[in-house]
Amino acid sequence: MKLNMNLLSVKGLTKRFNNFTAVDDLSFELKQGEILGLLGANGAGKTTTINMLVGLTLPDGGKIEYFGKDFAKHRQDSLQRINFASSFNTLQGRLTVYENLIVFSNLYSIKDPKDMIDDLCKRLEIPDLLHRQYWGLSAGQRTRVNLVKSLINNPEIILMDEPTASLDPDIADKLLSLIEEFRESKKLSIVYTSHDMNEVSRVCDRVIFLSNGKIEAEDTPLGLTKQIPYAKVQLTFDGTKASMEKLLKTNKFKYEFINNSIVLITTKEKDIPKVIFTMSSGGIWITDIDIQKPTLEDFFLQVARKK
Amino acid sequence: MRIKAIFLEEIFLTKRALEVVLDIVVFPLINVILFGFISIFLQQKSSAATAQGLLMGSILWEMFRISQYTVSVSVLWEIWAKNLSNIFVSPLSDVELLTAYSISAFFKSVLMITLFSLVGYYIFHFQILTIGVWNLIFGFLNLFWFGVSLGIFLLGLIFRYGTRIQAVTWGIVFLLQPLTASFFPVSILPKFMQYLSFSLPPTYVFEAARFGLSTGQTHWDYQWISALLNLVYFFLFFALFRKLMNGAKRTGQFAKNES
Repeated sequence: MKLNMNLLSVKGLTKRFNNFTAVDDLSFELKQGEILGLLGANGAGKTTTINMLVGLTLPDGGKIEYFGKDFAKHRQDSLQRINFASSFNTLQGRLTVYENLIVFSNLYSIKDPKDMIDDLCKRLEIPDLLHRQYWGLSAGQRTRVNLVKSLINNPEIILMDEPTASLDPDIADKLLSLIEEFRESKKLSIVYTSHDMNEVSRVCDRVIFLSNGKIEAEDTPLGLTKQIPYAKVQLTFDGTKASMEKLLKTNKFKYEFINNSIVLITTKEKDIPKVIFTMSSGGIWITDIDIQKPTLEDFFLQVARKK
Repeated sequence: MRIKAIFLEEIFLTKRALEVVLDIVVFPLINVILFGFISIFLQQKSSAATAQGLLMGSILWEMFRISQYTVSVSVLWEIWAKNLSNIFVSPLSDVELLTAYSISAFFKSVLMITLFSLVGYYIFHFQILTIGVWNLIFGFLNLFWFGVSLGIFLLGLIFRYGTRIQAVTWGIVFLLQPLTASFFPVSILPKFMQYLSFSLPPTYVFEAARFGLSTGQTHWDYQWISALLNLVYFFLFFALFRKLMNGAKRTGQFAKNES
């Protein structure tokens, strides 16, 4: 996909709550068709950033521009072209799904919204839910309805705050597939926050890692994992733990035993072949090798623990 | 279309929320019926005008309460449903939201004054038009206007301080009821309370209605004073609403209201 113009530009965004700086001079851009992940531990500033991006919280400093226009001055124009999905928000429980969607169609001034609602509900496989009250839906069904709501105005940007929280893996996987499909078919740009590193690695083109309201790291998911130089080699061996330990100590490897026949060796990624060769030629019978390359979660933990 | 959206949501919600029906139809109706019986009792013991004044006061009072309730409680439904953020990340402006709630409040108030007047007429033989057509129309509009203005101010308080102060939206009318002299003439209030009373637009409406009831004439002076005071309160409360809403967005409370 061609990623070109900036649809969202954030410059020096700052938010303080009394003496606490929740977002500190944050700057980033979102290109057309890009999915940008905002990662960070609890309190890192992700949700405050999203809240400022949709106008629910006023910034203390900095500038937000959508489509080249100042958000503070062109609030309505900007909001007409973006939308928001969060697992923390629901629609009116007393209303049916259809009634809720009609309300939002009108909020976004959609003329003849019935076809749009029918089409989106078909694509999200929920046409049979249209006349059910929202509060009677399961978490997975609600998430799909919320996604229909967030697509109702055919937005160019969607801000998603932990959209898969509280979903089971199957439903979460379907939702991610839908996000990928809509990104492709509608050239959607998405700002995506999540605590699930696997899904961030899967859907995000670029990740901004926030810590104490500041950008700690910014790269592709793969690029971030490459910042961790170490990998883990898990060896299952046939022999005594003592002889294995002796060999590990001789070669000055960093290791920990999982049990009497499995050891986990931490080494530089480039040294993995050397480790395997050394161990297998040391007189110990290796029955299984599992190489664990660094993941985004390892990066997350490294940064979080460093703090 | 955005105003229509919120108005539609109001209709859908009122249809399905028993609580709203209880609050704006059943409880006020019981109140009107109660005052109807009290007025019958008083007619037997004292003057008919005093008794009718009581029933009239209860009907008009509900107009004010329903308009205030509709404006300020509607947003609580959004907060309780965790739908407030969804509404406010749409292009809807605060003025559009308030306009939609005011239109909804107007229709509810008109429907209810019709219902209560019919109940007053058929059960208690009280004709609300006895106070005079213009007294009724201007009185209704002034009460509606103050109810909406107060509702807007309360809305600002809810945005700024969250649902921990939600009881104020139901309770404030009880604070204002004695001050606005809805069931008795202002003259029976202690002097210092009379000053307070005459600073509130509904007081003039109730006084004008009692005047109409006893003379059959419209008290234009009181209706105009009420309208002028309403103008002042409307701009004051709207300015406070804006200030409170900006404060809520600045402190982060607005986004936290749903959590």
